Amino acid sequence: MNTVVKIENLVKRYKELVAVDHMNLSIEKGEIFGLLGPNGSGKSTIINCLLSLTEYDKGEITVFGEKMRADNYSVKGRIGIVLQNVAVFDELTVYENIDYFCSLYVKEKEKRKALVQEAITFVGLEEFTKFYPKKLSGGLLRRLNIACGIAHKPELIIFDEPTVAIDPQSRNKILEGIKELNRQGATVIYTSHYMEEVEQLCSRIAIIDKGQLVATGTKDELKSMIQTGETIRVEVPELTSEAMFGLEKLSHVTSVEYIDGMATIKCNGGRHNVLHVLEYLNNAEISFGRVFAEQPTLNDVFLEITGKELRDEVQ
Amino acid sequence: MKVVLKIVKKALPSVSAYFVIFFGLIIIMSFFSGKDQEKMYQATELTIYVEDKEESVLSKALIAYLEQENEVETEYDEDLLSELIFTGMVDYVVYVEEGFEETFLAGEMGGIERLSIKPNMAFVDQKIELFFQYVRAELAMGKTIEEACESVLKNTEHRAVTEVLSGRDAMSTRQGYFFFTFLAYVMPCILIMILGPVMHVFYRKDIKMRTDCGMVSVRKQNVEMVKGIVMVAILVWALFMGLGAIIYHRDFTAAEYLLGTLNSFTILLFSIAVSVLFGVLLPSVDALNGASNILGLGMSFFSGVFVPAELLPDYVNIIGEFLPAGWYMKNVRLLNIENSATTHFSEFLVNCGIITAFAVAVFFVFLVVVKRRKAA
Repeated sequence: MNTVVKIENLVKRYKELVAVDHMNLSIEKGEIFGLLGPNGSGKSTIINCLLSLTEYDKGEITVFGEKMRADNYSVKGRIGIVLQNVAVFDELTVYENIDYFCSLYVKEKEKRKALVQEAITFVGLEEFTKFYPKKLSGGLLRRLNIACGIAHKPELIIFDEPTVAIDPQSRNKILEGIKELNRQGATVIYTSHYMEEVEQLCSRIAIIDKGQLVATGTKDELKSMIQTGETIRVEVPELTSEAMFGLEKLSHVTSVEYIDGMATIKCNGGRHNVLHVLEYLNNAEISFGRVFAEQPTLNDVFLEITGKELRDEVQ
Repeated sequence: MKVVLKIVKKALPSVSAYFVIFFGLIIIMSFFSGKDQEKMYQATELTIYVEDKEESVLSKALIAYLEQENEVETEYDEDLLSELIFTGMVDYVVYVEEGFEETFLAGEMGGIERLSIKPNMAFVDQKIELFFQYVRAELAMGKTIEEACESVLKNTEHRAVTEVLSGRDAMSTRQGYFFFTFLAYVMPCILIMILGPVMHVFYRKDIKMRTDCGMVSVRKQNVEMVKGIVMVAILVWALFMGLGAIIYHRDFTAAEYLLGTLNSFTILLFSIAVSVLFGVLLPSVDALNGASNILGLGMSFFSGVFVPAELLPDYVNIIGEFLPAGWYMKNVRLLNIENSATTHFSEFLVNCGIITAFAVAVFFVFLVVVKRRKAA
């Protein structure tokens, strides 16, 4: 049995607002599963339901083959949570914080000591074990936050927007850490509204909007679902309407635009599109400068499916 | 538990300051209270005018009896007396007519007229009645009127001297009075500053979320929390009561100190309840410090902690009835009068029950807040 999390027909309402609307998800062992959606789309509510932190109106959630309930402690013991906000005690040192949160899962002191030390090493806080959180920088605090969530060596780790408001260097370090945890065998659920992160990190992605599952699959599968394919931009000093017509006639080319010396050619799938375009320009003896080719992004997927930009929703 | 103690440790410097100020203040107050009461005793001495037309043994004995505790004048002319009465310089007037002693010896009451100039002079009437009863009792024992009067004066004078020397008149203030009084202010303040941050930290949304994700049941979390809070609160209370017992044990009987301890325990319960409520309601530790002062000072003012209730306007005392410290202070006032708390034991217990009811009510509000927050 490889399914770690199975969410079936999940509905969660806050009075009139439907926060999660008949959600179905299945997360397999060893995946880094991304929940991508704008703020307020229902990602955190799904996580709260999954962790039994909030009651839901309808549906069923199974984790590790068992129905998830608030008192299902054997399942809870196999889950780690890293929240968006740094959830640590200001009154405890780095070591004491990790030890406290680890003690919620591991009672034996000796075993815990080893686990805490391992977590400290993993996040690279060896030099800061006696520091209080208020003395740590934002990036170090995030690392502490992660250490508190993973010290008990969970099999399923949930990261709820762990990179909000931190510098790129710390962000990369966190993403590398998550990949490493995954390599060590942990299944990861990663929620974010940063599509680049999700695209870079996740093996499978669910796009969520207004509590509904918009699409799910690998990033390639998601991109293949939409009309928009590769976008080629070529610097051309002069492009006649005949030449534009000729470009449009090429196979897989859906549209050609020419603005301020830049031709934008959109393709829907196909291979070697750049080669075909450049070959056409050469044959037509049209001189050109720099050439850019861009694959469709998850934002294109979101835009095409929902009719709005994912970035527009980001606060 | 360790986390609770760590959070408590952080609040210790400011709490220690409260502690030192509290004990410093009550020791100073206690030191000065004796002198103040002596002055107060003199100040409350009444001015009584006696016009004695008979000048018999009995009337002279009555004057001597009244002189034991009051200033007695006998030689005013009518105009001066009218002026003194008008200006409020005389509190009570006694007219003794001729034939007073004869009527008294005949077993009747006549030839004496009493006039209260100021209100609440009933106790002077009672004192005079008591004098006549003593004399009749002595006469019944076969003594002459001279012997009876002499005996009564001797006995009452002896008692009066004893009272003044000991400084333990029923109306005086015991030194330990200030200890119990100021507990009503300092106990909520200190506990809000200690327990408030504990609750504030543990009920922080993200911390609570992370804790609830763990393998420790909510029930066990609550048990641990209650254990930690009760332990800290009992420690603080025991420290106060222990030091109070050391400093003021001579001021009270064991029973009275135990009742004082019981009374302070009820205010401890209220302080715990209000601390946990403020801990989950208020947004920051700074806000908790502010709230502790507002609650402590406000409640103390309305309940007569800083200013005796008798000197406060009626509406302030009425507001005090709706505050636990108001009921606490009623018990403290009972404790201040020798044997009063033990003789009014049922009243004392009712007051304790009311304070406990306040604590229970506040605790229920806390539970509602926690439940609502969880549902949100």
